[in-house]
Amino acid sequence: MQTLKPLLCTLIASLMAMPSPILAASHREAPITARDRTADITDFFAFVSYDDPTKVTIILNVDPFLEPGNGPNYFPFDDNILYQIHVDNNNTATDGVVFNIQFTTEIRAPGVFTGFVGAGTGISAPASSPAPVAPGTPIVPAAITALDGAGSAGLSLRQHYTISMTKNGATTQLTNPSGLTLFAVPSNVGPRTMPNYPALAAQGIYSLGNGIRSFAGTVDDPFYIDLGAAFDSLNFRMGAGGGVLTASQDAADNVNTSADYVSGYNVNTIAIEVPIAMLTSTGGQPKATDPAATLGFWGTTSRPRITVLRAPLPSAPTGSFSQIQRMGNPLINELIIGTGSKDFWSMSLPVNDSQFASFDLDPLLARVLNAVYGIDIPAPPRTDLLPLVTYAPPIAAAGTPAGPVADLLRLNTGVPPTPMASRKRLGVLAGDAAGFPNGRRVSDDVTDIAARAVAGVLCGITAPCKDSTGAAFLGTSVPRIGDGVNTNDVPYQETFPYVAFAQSGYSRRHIDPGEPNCSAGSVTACPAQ
Amino acid sequence: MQNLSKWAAGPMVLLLCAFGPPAKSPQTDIDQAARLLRQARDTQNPEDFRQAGAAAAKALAIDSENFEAQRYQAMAMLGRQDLTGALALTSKLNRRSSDDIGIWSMLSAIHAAAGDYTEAERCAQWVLDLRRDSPLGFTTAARLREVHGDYDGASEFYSEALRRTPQSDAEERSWLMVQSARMLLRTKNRDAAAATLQQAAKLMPNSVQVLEQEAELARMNGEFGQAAALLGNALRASPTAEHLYSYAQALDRAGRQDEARAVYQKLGAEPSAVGSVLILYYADQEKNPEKALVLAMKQISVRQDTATLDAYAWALYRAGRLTEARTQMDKLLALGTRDPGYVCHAALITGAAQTREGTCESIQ
Repeated sequence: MQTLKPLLCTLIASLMAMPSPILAASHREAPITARDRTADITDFFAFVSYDDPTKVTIILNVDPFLEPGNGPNYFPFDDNILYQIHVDNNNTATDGVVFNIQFTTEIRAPGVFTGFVGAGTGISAPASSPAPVAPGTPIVPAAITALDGAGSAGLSLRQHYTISMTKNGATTQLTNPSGLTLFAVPSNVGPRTMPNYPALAAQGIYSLGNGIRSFAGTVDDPFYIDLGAAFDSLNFRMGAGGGVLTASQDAADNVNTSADYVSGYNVNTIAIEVPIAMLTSTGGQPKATDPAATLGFWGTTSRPRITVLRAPLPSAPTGSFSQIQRMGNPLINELIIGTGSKDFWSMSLPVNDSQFASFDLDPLLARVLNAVYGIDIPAPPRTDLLPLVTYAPPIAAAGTPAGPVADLLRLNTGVPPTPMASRKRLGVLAGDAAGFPNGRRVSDDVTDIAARAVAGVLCGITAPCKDSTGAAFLGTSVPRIGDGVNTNDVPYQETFPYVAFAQSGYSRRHIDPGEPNCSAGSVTACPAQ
Repeated sequence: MQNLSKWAAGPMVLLLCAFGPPAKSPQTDIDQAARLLRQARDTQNPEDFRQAGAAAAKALAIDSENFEAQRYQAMAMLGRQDLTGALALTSKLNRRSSDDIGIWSMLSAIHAAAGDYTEAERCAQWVLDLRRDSPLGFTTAARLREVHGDYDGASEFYSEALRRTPQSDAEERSWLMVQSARMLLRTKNRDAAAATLQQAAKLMPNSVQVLEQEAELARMNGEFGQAAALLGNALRASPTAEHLYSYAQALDRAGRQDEARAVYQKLGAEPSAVGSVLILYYADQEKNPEKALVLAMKQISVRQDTATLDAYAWALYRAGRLTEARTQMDKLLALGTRDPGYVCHAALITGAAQTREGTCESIQ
């Protein structure tokens, strides 16, 4: 007969199972994804397409710090992961529309030692070729110039993907009207193997009908940050103002005064462009002043779940997935959530984020800035930060239901895109209404924006604040906090998928402190200290 | 404008002041609590849990917010059936570090003890989700599979846990082997169970749990004398009420009724005797259904796990309160349990089966 002993035994087994938290940066920020890099969401973007204000582009980046030359397998997506992009269109922080993406890997030439190979028009065995390979036998295929058909023979490792849209309970497979298989774009191996990589990568942009486009593959990581300084206990470099930028440094959106630690690295991206009318609850494209114009976006990665109970027991659904990570706003899990709860946060649903409200509305980082640097900060509860976690002005129109506290990337789709010449890295803080935190563009400097937001820069804009004495706290008093990295190492694209195509494995360059060319095209050296 | 870097040494000083160790280290007491809890896992001796709780309390006297000491204190509370205290402390630890699967596993155990198997499953699922390859996820879930009658599924999970446990951890591997053997015995796979127990005994020759399962195997093989000898050894190693009861039952089966009676009488006088064992003792051996029912009602007010539900239903049945007995037994059967003891009690309560003595002894 059973007794209580096995239960006690089980819990005592927990003596064996202490997690070892790993503090990491924006990329690899949660312990679980530090160990499961293909499920690691590095960044998530949603913005009105620069060249088509009737559409939204959503980008889910995964798998950080991909060294471009790291063959032979490079960086395929994980066939066992369900990648999803979620859209809340009724202010409930729940799924209104979901895009589901899954990959399949094929090894087309199992005997070849590398995933990608090719040169010129191909190389054959020379006259000196020992038997049994006869002279003239093709050895190296032609350079890779296509994802399929002629010019694709060298793609030994190739991935294709499916994408479906779940809306109103129905799931629709999104396919290319021409019936083309959707191929993922491989890494940029180098000029010999892939002599015209931009042309090859562009073949990975697919039209899926109804105005939807997709792209998946390895690209340049659009994120930029002085990671070394930020995580060396905020040891910002003196050459970059020591953590507070000068007015001229702050104004120079295209000039770095610190090294971009993500420079020269690639990342895997899934980008989709969708007509706004397909996402809103009204089925139209509401004006910015309409509460229906603001949508909430977040991305997730999930793996098949091992369930406690097995079917046919009712609580054991078959085919279920366990969420590994999610991302809405940037840097929430990195900078706001306590290390002991980062995985739990990653695996929780946004609609349940009220359980993390203490992190959101009294962020420890603000208290560190206050304690360490003597920067005055607003007193909690930090209602000035509410627009990041609820539907509130100035992002959402007045009268928009706030909904629950939830980490979503909220985008007012009625705000038109800002032309490139007027675009500001500091987004809304610099008067550029189409930038973060109204959605997030690939070029937005979320590190500086988030640090300033945590320090209280939104006070007086989003909500009135008070300081520790009860006096009014104004956001204008917050210093120009910044890491000195204001732009990416390579230019972005102005058309879908907007990120730069992958850096070359043959000629990539990581820009380190003390090295010249701190900004692309400049001769200025990055400060070492 | 402030220069942030010149203050850079400041934050760490402050953070260390806030989170650094106290002047005296509580580690010795924490280690002692952990050792005693490991021992308690094998012996199930309430005294081990009491001592573990005392060691944790000493650690907390030095460092009142020490996470590990609080963890062990909560475990000791659960071992001493203080579910309310264990739940309050474990929930606090869960809020403090939601990623800690040991805490989630303990929450699962507490809810299971309280009879809330839905919540127990939810917490166990978090263990599996948060650390997919952790042995603890499999063992936590295996126990619930067993509760729901899925012995093959539980066995699969114990194997998965064993596969992920280092060869160097003999104690843990032995324990997992014993759990596997227990499931194999449940499915009447005696040969495999014998082989598994042999391996477990090699790793931990003095394990009480190995003795218990070896005795169960001997009983299933009809070697009642051998079963009694093994349980006698288990009792000597860990003099608990449960072992007294098992030993007395084994002596009874071996035809040594006088000795059995003497051991049963010790059970009535055993100060540590609590829970379902004592209820069954009064219901079946002392033929004192009123006392059994009083004990059962007290127990069901504290915990509503399967063992308690069964004992309560049985006490009601013995007291002649058949309708209530069936209601309680229905709650237990709804979980899907296939425990032969419970199934037998259920059959007798519903009148679906009858035995010569009116107990389940003869058909177990």
